[in-house]
Amino acid sequence: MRQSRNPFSQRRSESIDNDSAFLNLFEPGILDILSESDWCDTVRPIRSAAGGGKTSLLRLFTPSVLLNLHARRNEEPLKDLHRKLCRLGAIDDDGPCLLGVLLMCGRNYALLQELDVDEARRKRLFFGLLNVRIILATLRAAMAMRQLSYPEDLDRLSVAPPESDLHLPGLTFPCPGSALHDWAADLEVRVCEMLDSFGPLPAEPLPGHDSLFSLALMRPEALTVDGRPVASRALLMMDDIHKLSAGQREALFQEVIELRSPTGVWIAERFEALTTSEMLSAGAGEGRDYAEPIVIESYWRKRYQAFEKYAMRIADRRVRSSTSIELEDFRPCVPSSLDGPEYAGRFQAAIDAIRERLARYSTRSEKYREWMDATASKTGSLEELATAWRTLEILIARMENRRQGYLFEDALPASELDDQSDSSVVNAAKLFLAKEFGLPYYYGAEVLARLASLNIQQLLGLSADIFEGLLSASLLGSALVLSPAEQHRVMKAAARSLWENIPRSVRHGREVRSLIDGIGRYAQWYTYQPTAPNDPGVAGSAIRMSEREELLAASRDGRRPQWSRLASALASGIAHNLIVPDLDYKCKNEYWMVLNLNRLLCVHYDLPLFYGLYKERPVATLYDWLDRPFEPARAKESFL
Amino acid sequence: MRDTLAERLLVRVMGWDRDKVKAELPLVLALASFKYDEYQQFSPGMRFVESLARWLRQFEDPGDRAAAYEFVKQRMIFCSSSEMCHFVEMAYPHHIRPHLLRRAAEEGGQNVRHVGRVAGSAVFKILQRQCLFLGLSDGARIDLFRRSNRELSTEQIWQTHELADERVHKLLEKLEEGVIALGGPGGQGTTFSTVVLLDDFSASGRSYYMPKDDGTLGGKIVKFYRRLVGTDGSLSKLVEVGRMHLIILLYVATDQALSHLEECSRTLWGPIGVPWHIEVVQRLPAQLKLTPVNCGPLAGAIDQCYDDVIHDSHMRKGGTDDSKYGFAACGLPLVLHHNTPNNSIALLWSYEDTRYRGLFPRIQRHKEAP
Repeated sequence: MRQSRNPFSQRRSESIDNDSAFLNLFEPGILDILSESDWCDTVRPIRSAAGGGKTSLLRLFTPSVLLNLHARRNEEPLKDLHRKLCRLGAIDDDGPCLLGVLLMCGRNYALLQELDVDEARRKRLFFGLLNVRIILATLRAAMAMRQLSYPEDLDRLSVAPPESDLHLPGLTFPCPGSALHDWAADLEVRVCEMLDSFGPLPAEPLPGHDSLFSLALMRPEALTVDGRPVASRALLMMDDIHKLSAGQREALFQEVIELRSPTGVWIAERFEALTTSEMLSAGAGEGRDYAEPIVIESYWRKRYQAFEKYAMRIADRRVRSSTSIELEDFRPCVPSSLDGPEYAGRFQAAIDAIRERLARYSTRSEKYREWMDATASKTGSLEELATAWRTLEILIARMENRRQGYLFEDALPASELDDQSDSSVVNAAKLFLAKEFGLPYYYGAEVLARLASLNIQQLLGLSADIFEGLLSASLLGSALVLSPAEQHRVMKAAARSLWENIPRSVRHGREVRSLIDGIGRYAQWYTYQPTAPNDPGVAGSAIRMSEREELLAASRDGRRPQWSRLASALASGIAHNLIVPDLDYKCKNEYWMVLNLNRLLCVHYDLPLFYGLYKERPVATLYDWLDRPFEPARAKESFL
Repeated sequence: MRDTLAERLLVRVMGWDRDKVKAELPLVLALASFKYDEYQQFSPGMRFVESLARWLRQFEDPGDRAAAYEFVKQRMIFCSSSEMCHFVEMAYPHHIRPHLLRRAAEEGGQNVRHVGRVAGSAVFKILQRQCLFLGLSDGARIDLFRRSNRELSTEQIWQTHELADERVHKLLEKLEEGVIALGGPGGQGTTFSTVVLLDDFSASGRSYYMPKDDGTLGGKIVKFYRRLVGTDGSLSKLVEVGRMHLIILLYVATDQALSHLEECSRTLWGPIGVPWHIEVVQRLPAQLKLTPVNCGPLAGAIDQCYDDVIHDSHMRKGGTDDSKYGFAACGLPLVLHHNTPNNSIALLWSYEDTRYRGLFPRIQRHKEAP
């Protein structure tokens, strides 16, 4: 296989096969999500949609990556990362001091649920398999920490007895690592044989355990190599928990909490593991039994500007790693200006068309004469002038829309035009101009970062498309730049692809897409009204928090199937980051659950990308959208 | 040629703009990476993208060039090494074993659907041991076939159907031992009850059964037949003709080849009462065949970019006036990873040293002396 020519095409941490390349691409900004005081001492769920960056975060703390970082700590691009990890206490001057044990939980476990035995025995097999896998992963990590061979050098590792009374048949503590390895490997084989067997399970007692005792063996002081502790801290990182069955996941959480493990445990899972009611209530009332979950999207939502900078730094790291073209920064490749002859004609045409439309007002009365004169006397680029004229048209539409007319049609002073031309209406004018005159709207580095919708995988996907354009430019000997029009086309195509894939890639996909379509079409109709209400436009909907409570109740008791159906679609949309909720948003003396569309879906509906603007709808309307697409009321058409 | 240079050449030849490069090049590179670079007859240093660029450059008319490129994208079939291995691995368990199971069930008076019971019976095991596998050419991948079927004895698989007396004697000797070990009667006179003739690919079937001008048949299987039952009889000890079954097993074959093999097998083996079967792991249906009528704008390119020097005495045996649509006008859009069949359109396989060079140039097996 050739080496990938597009550095953005590796979108999963697992597909980056060497630690050095992983470190080159890792952007340390995500580490700010960890609290320095207790980041690895508690049980902590880590949640996000697919592609949020969980596995990359976990992989960073594995011994081989930490050792690699320590060896390269003086390299400029890695200094910041090294400093941050020192501050967290994962690494010091002598090297890694954290034993990070990464366990992928995607394999085999869910199969246990299909065995024809009672629940208690299934749980016993599950904990048995989990225990041995944790033990084996810990032994492997301990060897890696000391740069010893696994399993050949396990005799040099000594395992001290656990603090609690623990009797394992066939094993006595303290024991060498090799004895623990053989014991665990033997048990793993026996459990897997049960799984692989086509026949009925044997009558004799099944192998397995009733608790997760392996956590007690992971104490850092209990693992020594040649008499020296392997590490001063230990952290078990369990990934892909969403691949467990619902029962296994619940049992795991319960067990880990009850054990009050002295070792830190991270439980990383996608939102899709959560039930509908857990999903809809996410963010409210969690964290009693374990530390507050790290929800990656929620973290970034509060700091979306920081995310956008973080996203650009990730893009820069990727382009620097390219072997196809030499680039230092991504930003110059995606210019964010419409200056240039290719757009001048279109802006001029827009100015002419708008002036012609507005001419009817000046012939009718003197009311807007000063406003028009003021706009006509403005100087600046053609883009600025076109925007000013479109702004004027919106403001006139608002004036004309006022139900109560003025007694005397006096000319409105130019100062009032200035007062009303705030940045929001100007942004609405830019959006309207783009839509009406076929100008690019979605372009530039900031827009690209915003369209990632707080998700790294989405960022990499969009950037991969952009980079493909740069590769084409390079082959043709052109400048390594993608024009705004080209960027806009790439974004529209990506948005369409995301929208089209929803039924295939998401649980309750058809209903999720119908709901999104309802929200998107309604937002589009509302945004493009001539008066630009709620400028620069809305990109989501909202329901009352009280209605959300009813949805939650419906999903729990199933008494109102139609609401339960809406709740499932909504939860699935949220789980896959297609709908981004904001809970307890206070507005009009009420509390709302705001349902923002994924920013890339906003592109599909030609909506602005500003956060926080929505138009609420009754929950019954949202339910209607599941089966009937939104149709605008005839009486109140938008200018589209 | 460096990858980038080859890509640049391709882009220039096709006259692609940025959007087109962005849409097409990743696809071409993916095809090259997944499959086409593994073509074994590319000259040293050559890879698919360069070959494609040079091949497309031969078409002077941009319409022909576009048609040729579309053909590569949409209609060409490339059988990779791993795909061919997969066919070899499937051949015995999916195509021969069911025959043997059926016969064992009949002979043992068992229900054919009780597969486990039939497969465990001594009748089946002996029948399986009495099955002789012979290669029809070096494409039969006998080494892989042997390794893929551990339940078969290495002493019942041989790379060629042209067996020396000494080999015949050895095969029978080991057969006797094998049958006795399985609890069978053994003893002198133990013969093979099934002969499977293996080959990798056939498009016309004519190398196995070649009709001659005098109305008789030539070809590999006919020669085998003569050695088995004819006056030569050098292989006659291997089987008892009246009790033998013949299976011709091809990993890849066209419907055209299948019809020809069926027709000729009926003529040859029917009169002496030998039950025969033709088994094909991957059939290439008739609708794949390219003709001047169905290949649209490509027809012009096939017609023009053709050097008649490739229509040598061997190609003439196919009974056509030229080789534009390949041997016997099979019109295949097929490339095999180790060599492009001459039954494919000439545009694909024309030799390196001809006026028009194929996209996947073929190595000539029957090179005529200058």
